[in-house]
Amino acid sequence: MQSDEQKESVLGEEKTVKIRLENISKIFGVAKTKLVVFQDINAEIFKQEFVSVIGPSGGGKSTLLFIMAGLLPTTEGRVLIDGKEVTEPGRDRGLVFQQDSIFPWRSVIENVEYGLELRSVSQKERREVAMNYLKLVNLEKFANFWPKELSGGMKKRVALAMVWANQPDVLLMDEPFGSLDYPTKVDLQNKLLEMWGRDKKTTVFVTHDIEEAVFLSDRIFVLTDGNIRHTLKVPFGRPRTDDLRTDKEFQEIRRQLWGYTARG
Amino acid sequence: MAEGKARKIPLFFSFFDRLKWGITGLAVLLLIWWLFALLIGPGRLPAPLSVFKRMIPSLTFITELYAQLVSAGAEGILPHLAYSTRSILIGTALGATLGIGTGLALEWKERVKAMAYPSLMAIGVIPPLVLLPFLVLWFGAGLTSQLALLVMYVFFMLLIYTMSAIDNVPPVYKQFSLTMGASRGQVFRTVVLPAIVPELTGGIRVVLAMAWGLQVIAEVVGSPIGMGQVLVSLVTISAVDVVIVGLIYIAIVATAIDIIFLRMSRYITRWMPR
Repeated sequence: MQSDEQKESVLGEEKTVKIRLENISKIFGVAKTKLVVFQDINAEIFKQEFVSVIGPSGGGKSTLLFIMAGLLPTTEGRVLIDGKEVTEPGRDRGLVFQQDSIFPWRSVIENVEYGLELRSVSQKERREVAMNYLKLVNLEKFANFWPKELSGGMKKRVALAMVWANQPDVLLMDEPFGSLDYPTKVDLQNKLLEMWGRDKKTTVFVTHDIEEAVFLSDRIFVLTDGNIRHTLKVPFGRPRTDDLRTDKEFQEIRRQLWGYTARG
Repeated sequence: MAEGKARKIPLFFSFFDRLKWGITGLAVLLLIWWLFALLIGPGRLPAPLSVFKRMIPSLTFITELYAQLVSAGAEGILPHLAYSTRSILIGTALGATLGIGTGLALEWKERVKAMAYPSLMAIGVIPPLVLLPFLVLWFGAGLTSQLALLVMYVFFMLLIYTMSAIDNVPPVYKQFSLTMGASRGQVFRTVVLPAIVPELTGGIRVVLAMAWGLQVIAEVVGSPIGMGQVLVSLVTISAVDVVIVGLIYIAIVATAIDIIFLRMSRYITRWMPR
């Protein structure tokens, strides 16, 4: 059944639009301090699609993601999710932040329970659900630890478990693995793909790491000079394994994207 | 048994290290005091030993106080110290609760904050010595007016602490909470409240230390009991040695309260990286 779904996305049949970006512009400040981050972005992200946004830092990748999350307003244009305009943050769009965002005053398990607690799920049930998600990220032994006792990679895994346990409709990720060392990063990328493979939540993944973008995505948006200047379809099937990282075609795509993002 | 050359990491300070250095610090202070007393003469500053001799008897009976104070059974330091300590604890608890509560309320409703902020500032900057006579006039001399003074300043300080602590909550926590589906009230309860606790405990610590000064000032005006009354009575007759005895007892109680409170707040904020 899983392979059927994969074929579908590879062949691009019956795509429904999940996220639509309509003429989005973002300008910070006014007059002399005016900073145009991007202007008139139009794009579609399909249901069950994994899209990465790459581009130079300061190019507005995170800003775009925060707009989709409803944490920042657009200057012009709007974001539609399932045809409904985004006006505020909500549970349907889970966001994994670049910085540590898990709550330091809650134990690991209490963090994972957070979303369920907001919806008044009973103590017993939420502990059970949270424990399952902790197991998925291999942190069940750390359930009663404080976040301060975890490494950076472990904190990231808690954040992932937290967002997954909250069952969002769309997953937004803002350079989640940016601060991690290479092996940890690779490990978490595989974990992410494994999780994504279960229910194919529409995912928008912001990163400056080209290899990461190619390895994870169905499509890649290159956000540079204030707009999505290039869109690239990643031709590899799924599930993907680490062997792909050294594949010749993989390297070719990396090189091509490098050309798009390198500053001239 | 591999007894390696385990080097002590200087970052870790054991209880005994603390005790050792604490005693060293006190010894240095005593030495300075003693030298200074020698220099200016025992009439103006009594030497440590002559003060220490009076420490224990002063708890229950001070001759100079007996001549000065009218209230029976309060000729020693003990009842006065107990009275002041109790007032400080009650006043701080009351003022802190009101201050934190008001701070939270003001941050919750922007309109209320805009309305109340200037008036609160105006009240907060009135000097205690100016305010006190009015409080005595309104509430009479005694516990009520003393508490009123303490509560007012503790309230004001913790109000500011609370508002600035809320201001300092890293936005990423609020944003994360919102994207998890929290309502504004839930963000306040599950993010803002726990996040401000460390700053508030710091504020309460400051206030607990400051409270002694205020309480002593408040007790000077028409109170028959309290350390303020004791100290002022003794100062007027230049009984310097017993004044120092009183100050030492205040320091002991204040330090004890501080240590106990620090222990408690360390436990409450044990989630914090240290």
